[in-house]
Amino acid sequence: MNRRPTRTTTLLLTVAALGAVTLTGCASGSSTAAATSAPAVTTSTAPAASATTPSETPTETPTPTPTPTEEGQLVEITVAKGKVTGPKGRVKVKAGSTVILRVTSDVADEIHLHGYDKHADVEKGGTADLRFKATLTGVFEVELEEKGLQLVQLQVQ
Amino acid sequence: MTPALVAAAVPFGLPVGAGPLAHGVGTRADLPLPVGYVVAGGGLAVLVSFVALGALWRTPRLAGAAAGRPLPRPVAALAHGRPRLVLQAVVLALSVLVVVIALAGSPDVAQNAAPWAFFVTFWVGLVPVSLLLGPVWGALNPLRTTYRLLARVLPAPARPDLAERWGYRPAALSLLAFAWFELAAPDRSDPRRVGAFLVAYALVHLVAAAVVGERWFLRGDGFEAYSRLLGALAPVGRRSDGVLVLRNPLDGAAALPARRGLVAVVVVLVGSTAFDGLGRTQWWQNGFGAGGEAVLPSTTGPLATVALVGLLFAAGAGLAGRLGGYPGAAAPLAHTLVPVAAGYAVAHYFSLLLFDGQTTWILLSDPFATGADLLGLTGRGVDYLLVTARTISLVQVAAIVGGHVVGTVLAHDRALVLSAAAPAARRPVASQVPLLAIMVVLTMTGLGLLLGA
Repeated sequence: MNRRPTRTTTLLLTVAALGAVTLTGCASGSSTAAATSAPAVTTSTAPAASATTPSETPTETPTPTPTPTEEGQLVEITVAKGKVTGPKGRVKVKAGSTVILRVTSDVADEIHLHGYDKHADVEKGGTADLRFKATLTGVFEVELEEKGLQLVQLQVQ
Repeated sequence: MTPALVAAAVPFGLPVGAGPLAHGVGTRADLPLPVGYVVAGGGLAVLVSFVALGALWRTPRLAGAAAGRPLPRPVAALAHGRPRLVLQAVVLALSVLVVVIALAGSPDVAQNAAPWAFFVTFWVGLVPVSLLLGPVWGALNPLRTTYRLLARVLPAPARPDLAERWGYRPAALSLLAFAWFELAAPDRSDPRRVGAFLVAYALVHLVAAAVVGERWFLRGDGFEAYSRLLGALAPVGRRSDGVLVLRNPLDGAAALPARRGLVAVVVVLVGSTAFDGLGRTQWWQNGFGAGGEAVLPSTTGPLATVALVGLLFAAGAGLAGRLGGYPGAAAPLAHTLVPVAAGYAVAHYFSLLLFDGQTTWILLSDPFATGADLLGLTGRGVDYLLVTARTISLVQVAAIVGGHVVGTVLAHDRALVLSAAAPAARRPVASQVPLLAIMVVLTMTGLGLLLGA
């Protein structure tokens, strides 16, 4: 009776060991693959028209990257009449870089970067900067807190 | 995103491209899995499947509930008598506290511990605890404790036969209701809504238990059923003679009774977790799910994934039965999806528990937002540097592939058992091909969802 589980376990361990070898083998190669696949296009703002005529949205949106400036990676977002205009989809930023979220809004609200838990107030018709160092990796949401409106998702890696 | 999908999303009146990070609560989501990890994981899954077909044992080996060696007496004593009563009382008190905080604490989820305690610490924490210690929620369930207290004054249950007749079906429904609340309900992280859900959940199950008897919780309480299924994979369990034993997790899983409704529970678990993963992919968030918080896409999404997983499993099990000459194989094979469900759960929620799980304790330090500092944690931030992104990715791939390996081995052994018992048994090895195909599809889907996250 005791022999059965033992042989089963041995087999499973063999399989698991095989798995570990395969995984560690590829782990080194994957980071380069991810680095080369990042597109070099730098588009920060999409035309405002695309928000009202969705049928013109291209099937494949290029992964948006922030605009590099002297002070840091700039991500510009405009909120008007409850609609968000800015980079489409997720914005990729490099871990460790300084990021400036520049939000122009037609309503007074609070910009909230989840995870980092950073806040900045924006006045009605005003523009506010939320500046931070991207030290944590992962995908984070930026919201207009009161309205519960998502402005952008930041992918820090 | 295709124009058709955009058009479908527009009527919900929400900005295209805005999607939540899914789940009840959460402040961050994992990075997409590196391509290399996915390729390695997928390749390994296929390799394992072929090994399982050709090289594993030819006669059934798993002893199921009969297996295991007894735990030392002092350890086993912890699960009985006074220690158990104390634990039950503590869990009951904590549960009541969470409901009170939900209803009377701050209305802001960032200041209220209850949504974090329920969605993260309890629901996600139940996974590792059950995988390590067995079906703990069955032993500690505060609703069961409450029922036992009430049963002294209640009349005898009128329909105890329903527990057998319905099997695990009520638990599947209960889990589906929870999954909807967690993934699709509007304002689901609102503390008051969480409180209302908890009160409603407790009332429904207490009334049902008053009619059916205490066994209702085993068959009808989704959380208890979840803990029981995952707990079958624990290294400790109860042998058929009632003794607490240390055993091979494969034996524990094989010991799960092929009761009515087991298929439904397992399918709901795999399907709803898969949808949580799907909801985090950019493909979903920019496509049909672009409605964000809109109820329609976030309700049809989980239902559709659950239905898909159900169809896939029914087709695979049906084909396996046909090839092997053992019809009605779905229920006896349902346990093979349990490790797949466990793998999905670990892969999707590992980082959530580690990071956002901290929020529960930070907020419990000041439960009613009065400035108290009961645990010395008030005002602390979440430590996101606990594990690296690479560790998270490795755990994710290991969990998905590990679930696949265990599920494949379980399916192999059960196919041999079914063949041996069938009067017109044929081709026991060939009959495993459809099962392996399901496992491979579910594994590739699981990895694909993490790739697109």
